Amino acid sequence: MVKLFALSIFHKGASEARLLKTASDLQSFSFFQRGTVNEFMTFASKTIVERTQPALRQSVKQDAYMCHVYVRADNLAGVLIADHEYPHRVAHTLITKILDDFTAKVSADQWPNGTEATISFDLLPAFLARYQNPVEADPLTKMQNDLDETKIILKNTIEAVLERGEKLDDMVSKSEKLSLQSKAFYKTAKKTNSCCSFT
Amino acid sequence: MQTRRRLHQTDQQDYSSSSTYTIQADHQGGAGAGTGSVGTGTAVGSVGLLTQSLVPPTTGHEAAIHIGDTNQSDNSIPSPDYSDDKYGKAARQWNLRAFSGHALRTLSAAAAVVTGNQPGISNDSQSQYTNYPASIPSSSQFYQSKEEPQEPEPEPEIFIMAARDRTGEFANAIRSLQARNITRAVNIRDPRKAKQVQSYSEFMMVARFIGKNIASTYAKLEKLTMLAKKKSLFDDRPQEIQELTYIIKGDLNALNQQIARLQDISKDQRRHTNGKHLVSHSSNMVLALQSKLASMSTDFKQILEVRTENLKQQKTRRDQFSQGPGPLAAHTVSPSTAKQGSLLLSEENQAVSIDMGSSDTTPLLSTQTQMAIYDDSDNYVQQRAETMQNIESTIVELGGIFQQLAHMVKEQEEIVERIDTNVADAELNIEAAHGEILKYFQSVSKNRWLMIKIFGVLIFFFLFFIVFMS
Repeated sequence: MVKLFALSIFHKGASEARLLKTASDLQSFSFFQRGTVNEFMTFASKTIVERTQPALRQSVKQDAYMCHVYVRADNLAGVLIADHEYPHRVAHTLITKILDDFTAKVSADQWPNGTEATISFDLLPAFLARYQNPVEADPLTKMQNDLDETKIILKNTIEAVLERGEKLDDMVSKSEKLSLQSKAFYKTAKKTNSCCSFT
Repeated sequence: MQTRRRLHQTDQQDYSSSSTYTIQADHQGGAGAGTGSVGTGTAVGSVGLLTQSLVPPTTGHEAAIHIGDTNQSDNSIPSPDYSDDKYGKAARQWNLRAFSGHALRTLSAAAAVVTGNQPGISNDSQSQYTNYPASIPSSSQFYQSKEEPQEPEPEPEIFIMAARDRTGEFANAIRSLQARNITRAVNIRDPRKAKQVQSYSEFMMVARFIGKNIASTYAKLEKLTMLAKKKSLFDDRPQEIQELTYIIKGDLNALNQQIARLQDISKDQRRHTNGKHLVSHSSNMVLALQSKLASMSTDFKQILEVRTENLKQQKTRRDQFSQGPGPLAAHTVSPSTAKQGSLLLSEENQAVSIDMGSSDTTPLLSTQTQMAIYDDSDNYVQQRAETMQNIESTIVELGGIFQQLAHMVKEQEEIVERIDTNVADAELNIEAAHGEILKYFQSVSKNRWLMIKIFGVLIFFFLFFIVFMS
């Protein structure tokens, strides 16, 4: 089952990565684990961003999670922690989209020195929630799924048409027989009528 | 051995300073011819410039070619002899006004040869006056083989080379030049036909030019084919191939435009001429050229495809070689290695060039790092492209399925028609039979009445007889 766990935005400074905004969905963990898991995820994201070079995308496998990171050329980085089954492409699409939105909303001068409190960007949780289901959120995947469904429907239709063809063949033979019999009937009737003398 | 041609100059000083060719076209055809006699082609011209050739001003039909020498004691030579006049007359007769400098030079050289008995002009000048493959050695040979005229002038140094009679070549040259400007002669006779012939010859020249270009582009394409088909891993020469590709592309475009122009000319011609054969011939030629161009473009496309295939293979082989030793420091499970078969063309070119650069110059580990990281960040785009391709192919498939569906339904329509016919027949028959039976029934019921009546009468008679008999 595809699942997203956390989505965060970092600014990759010269010495370290600054966490600018984060959102996480830890419903699957028990209440007591959530704090630990959260910390762990933040730490992992930070490390990954520090280890990645600018203008690079990476997908790193970590125990049970898959960490997708994209560091842009202007040192803005986005990290998405998901499970193994989440499609990579959708993950990176989401990260790119988030970064673009962030750039549009928050000006670049706030990045090097911002903290979670100072920067106002509220779309992260909404995105996280929406992209829990990659099929619906990502238009490409949706289109692909729709097309696949359509293909199945069409295949069924073709089978139905083939059946119809068979039935039509049946009908043809039956109607032929009917017409032959009716012809015989007519001939008999005519013959009976031919000898007019009453016997 | 140094040879020299005679110099006719009235005002030597002026012309000695300017060492240029001038084609004095109109007023003395001979003058232009004089410059022409210096040599063939622009290369020759440069040689002439280098050797400070002096242009005779007025009627001199030869220029002085001093090889390393300035003009000498030829100053006081007046307009020399009858050969000049004869030559000038010949030139005017052929109306050499609008000739190009090359043609003039050639013709004048040829004329000078014949009229002034000056053999020794090199072959190039006469036979190939349109293309000047002017080679400097041949032109220098030309210079050196020029001969002194046989004019009655005190020439201290006269070297006479082997004499050759080139009258035939001269005649050929005249004929071909004549053909080129056939309108001149024809003009005298029939202006309308002249225009036809002129436009036709213009068309022919353009067509010939295009044909030549097509041939040269074909040669380049062959070369590109050979280069692209090479499959060795290290001998690839991308620069050359790219250059050649670019050149061929430019050539194809130019050819396209030229053929379009040719088509316009032929359309134009069609309006003017009413010769059916001319028109059909020109349209056929345009078609032939277009088809050649089209075939060449398809070949070019195929070659490009072959080249990208080769690039892909090379990349996979290279990846095999350099990703053999173990994983990297960063523990990435690149799913990229699985995706290498599906690189896009442009990215692949980049990847290949970068990989070639990196694998050639950097040590192995950094190569690996570079390659793996590069592939990884490439992966996203690859995947997107793949998804798009999938979607596109799915849509195409769907289209095919719909078409099949429609086809099947159409086929079944036929069967339905047959059923319809059969049932209609059956209905007809049954109606007819029904009618017959009705008739029969009627007849049957009718007969009974008759029988009753007849029997009644018979019984009456029978009774009557019985009663009256007893």
